[in-house]
Amino acid sequence: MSGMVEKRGSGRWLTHAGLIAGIAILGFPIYLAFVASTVTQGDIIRPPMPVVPGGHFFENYREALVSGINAPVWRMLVNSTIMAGGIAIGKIAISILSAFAIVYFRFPLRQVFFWLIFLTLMLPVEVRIVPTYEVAANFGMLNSYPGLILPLIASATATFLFRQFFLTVPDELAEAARVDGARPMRFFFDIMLPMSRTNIAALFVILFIYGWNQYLWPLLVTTEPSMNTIVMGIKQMFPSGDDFANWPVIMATAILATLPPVAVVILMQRLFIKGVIESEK
Amino acid sequence: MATIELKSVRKSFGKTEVIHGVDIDIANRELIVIVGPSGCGKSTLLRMVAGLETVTSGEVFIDGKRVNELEPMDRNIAMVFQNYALYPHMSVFDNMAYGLKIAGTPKAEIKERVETTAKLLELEPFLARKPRELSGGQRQRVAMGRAIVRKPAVFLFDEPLSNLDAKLRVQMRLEIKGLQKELGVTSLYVTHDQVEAMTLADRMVVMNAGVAEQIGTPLEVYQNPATMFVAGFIGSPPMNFLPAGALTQGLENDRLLNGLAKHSAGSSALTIGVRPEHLAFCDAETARLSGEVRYAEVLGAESLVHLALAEGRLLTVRQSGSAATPEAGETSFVRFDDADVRIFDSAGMRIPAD
Repeated sequence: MSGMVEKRGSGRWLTHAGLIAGIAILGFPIYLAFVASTVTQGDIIRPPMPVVPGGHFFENYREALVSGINAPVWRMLVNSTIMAGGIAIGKIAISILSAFAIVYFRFPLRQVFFWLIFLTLMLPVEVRIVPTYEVAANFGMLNSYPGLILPLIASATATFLFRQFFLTVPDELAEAARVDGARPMRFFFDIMLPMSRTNIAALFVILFIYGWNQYLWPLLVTTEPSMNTIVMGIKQMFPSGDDFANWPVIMATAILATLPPVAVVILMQRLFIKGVIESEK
Repeated sequence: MATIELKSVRKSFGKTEVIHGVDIDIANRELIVIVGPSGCGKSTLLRMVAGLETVTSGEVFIDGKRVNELEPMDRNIAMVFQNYALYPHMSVFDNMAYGLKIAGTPKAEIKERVETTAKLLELEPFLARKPRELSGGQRQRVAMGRAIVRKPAVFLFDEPLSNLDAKLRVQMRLEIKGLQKELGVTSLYVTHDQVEAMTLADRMVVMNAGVAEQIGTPLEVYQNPATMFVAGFIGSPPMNFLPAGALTQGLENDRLLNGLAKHSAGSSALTIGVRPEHLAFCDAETARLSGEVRYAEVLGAESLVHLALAEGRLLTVRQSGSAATPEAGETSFVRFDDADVRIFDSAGMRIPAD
């Protein structure tokens, strides 16, 4: 009996040791980046590289946030938040409405439209980037938030997910609402939307991070430093030619760039778990 | 309150016609039960009255007004669904209040009406709960409450009790009957359960394959079934059917079969039906049928004895639980009164007794 407990105990320690090793491997580069953001340029260049945080934390972060290299980091963070938030909210709004139309309305070519949407899943942004740029430029959307957001806003994946969810909702619910006197959009806002909040929370996390990590499109569509997003901004901080890189500020920027997605994950995870618990049974 | 009238209502899905012209007149305050096997079109018929299915041809009137083209919300009806269809994210109160809210009823009145209905259905302690926190029976009550609170002209029930366990079903059946009488709302109730139909109905409609085979009070339908289908469907265990021809040979001098011969030259094409409770065991002299006992179901209050006749046909005899049950393998003799026999022609239609 005691042997069994002992064995179980040692097994638990082993499992934890494995997990801690994994976290250390994943976390070490991030820790290094943090260390690099708290020392001076000289400390980084001189080998060996420091592994203990230095005393220049506030100095480096203030420099990054306020002046940056091309544009102040706070400006790029704001741009990225607007873009990622806009893409996530826009994608959810458009796809939930498309899914609602495809599932609950009978109109000519309904299936054709569904498959057309589905087909676009196979076309990544990069494939259609040149024509998209042409369209955005003709609409005068270069260097603007609509230019950053609108071309990325359609989502076949989200439409498909909402469609699958709506198909699992019993028809009687729509019929009960019809008998209760709800017109289609009332039914959508009063019943389908609240029932979808778990799916919306999960999708928001995925889509916000998707939007946050956009690199190629913001690089094409923005030329003014004040419209730069943080992910492309980091890359542009690297010097071209013989300039030297200001590593402490670049690392501070990198650390700052990870914070909003982390915040979104933590915030939405609570909502997400709450939704899962509530919809149980 | 209201009347409902269906005039040669038909329904087709694509090229397949599933309802072949049904006429029903429902009086004010009446509870009509539509009963039939699955796939007979009874739910489709109800959904056409509700406005959830379009009417292919024919007319539906509610309170004398043609409603064919009206949306469900404009027909002044309320419906109770088989799976209750409660809004899962809303409290019991909000579920019941939703229809009133859409209709723009003042808040104070909504509160008062929901609370009165909740009291009637003993749902008061649950008003703040979500449907998932309720038992099946409570959910069923909420679904009823959602219908009652709107004070509609007509209640439509689509197999509302089939998701409940047997005991609760009996209890809710009585409650629905009581509520319907108390509120005096004209109701249309669909079920496949003939006991439910018999106990609830003022009048019942027996449907088969898209046709209303008989409309009448439960007793009328039970005692004088219009067709062989109705005779076999209503009553449990079902009516015994025997080919008239098979009987004649054993019972040459039978008064009934002499009378039968008048109806058609080929009396062998006729079928006679006798309910199990109208058969009784007797001695060999007075017997009209004899067979070997196969097995007996002893149910306490009554016993069902199954006999195999000479040609292998099974016959059920229902007798009091206190009567002696014959042993399996015994040969038993059975008699019945002429008055209890129903005669059907080759098309399954009952031939009226003179």
